[in-house]
Amino acid sequence: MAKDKPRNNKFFVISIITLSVLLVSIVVLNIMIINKTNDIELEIEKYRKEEENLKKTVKFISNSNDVGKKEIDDLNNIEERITQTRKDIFVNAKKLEDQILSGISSKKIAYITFDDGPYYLTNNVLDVLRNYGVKATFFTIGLDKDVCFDNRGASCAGMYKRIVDEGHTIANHTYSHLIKRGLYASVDSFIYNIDRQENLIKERTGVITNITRFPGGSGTAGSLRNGIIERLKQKGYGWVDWTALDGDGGALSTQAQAMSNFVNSINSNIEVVLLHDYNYITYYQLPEMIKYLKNQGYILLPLFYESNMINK
Amino acid sequence: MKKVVCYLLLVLVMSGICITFINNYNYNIYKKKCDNLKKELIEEKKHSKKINTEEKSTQEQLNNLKIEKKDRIGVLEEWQKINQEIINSLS
Repeated sequence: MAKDKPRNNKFFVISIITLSVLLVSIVVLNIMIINKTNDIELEIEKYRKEEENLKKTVKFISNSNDVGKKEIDDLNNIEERITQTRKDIFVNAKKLEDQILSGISSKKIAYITFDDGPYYLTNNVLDVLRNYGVKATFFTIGLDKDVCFDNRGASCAGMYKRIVDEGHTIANHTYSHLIKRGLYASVDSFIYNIDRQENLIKERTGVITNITRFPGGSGTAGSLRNGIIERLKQKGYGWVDWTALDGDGGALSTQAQAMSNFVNSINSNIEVVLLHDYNYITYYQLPEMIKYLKNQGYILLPLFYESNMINK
Repeated sequence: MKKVVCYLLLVLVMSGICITFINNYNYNIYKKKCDNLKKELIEEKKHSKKINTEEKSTQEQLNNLKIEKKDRIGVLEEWQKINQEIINSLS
């Protein structure tokens, strides 16, 4: 028994030392594990923040991409949007005309029209209209346009397309305009000229027009007038004369005279202004005429079939 | 007394081993979480790169279209302006 006591003592001492070493090792190991866990926690936090920022960036870029794609779609459909906006304009313009004619509105509308082109001044006139943001109506003819060139060397035949591309109304003024050489010989000869010009406009621009103006005005048709109007109606055409002009179709010697004629003829809330895109005086005076109409409060529009000014 | 110390140390060692297991388990969970996040981040970076490239291509396409359709955009803007003018004039 006495021998067992020292042995037991030794055993306990060794056990205590071993267990102490083991305990210290465990503590050190745990400290290491906890430190590593803390490091990983920090790493996780860092990744989370990075991911969050990345997601925000991706979302922003995705949105920007979606907006870009929508803009591309809009641009690819720009022709449809132009057509739709044009339709909207005509619907609203008709409403405005109705309000003006019934006295509800004191607003004014002017339809600037050019007859007999395209001619050697058409490009210049189109430039002026573009500079002033004005849309007009061109009553075009077809005879001799393939041998007509302007001072820039541009063929008149190519100007039909520019008229349409820039948003103006292209209308039918008969193919030949030969008032004294057969146009008004019969209803058929007039309608033949309408059909021929309609085909020419369609071929050059893709537009099928349904607005016409009698060369010289509807009165020039004389006894054929009603017959022609009837045939035009059957074809779905509307026609229009004019209510204002600068007199450039006749003898006109100065810009002052043109302006005076023009100003004196403007007296209604809705005006259809007759001009010619072959007349230099009109071309030089056009900016002043536009400014005058705008100063008088007129909204300048191209003619459209549904307008009250178009006889149907 | 030595016996008591010895047993106490034994208990401490046993508890230490248990705590080590728990800490190690926690560490493994965090490690796994971290690895997953790392993978997600790599994927997100790839996705971000793809979106970036796509966006650049969209912008390039858009800029080209804007140049190509400059005239038509001008016409549309003019029409929209005229439409607004008429709408403002309606009673």
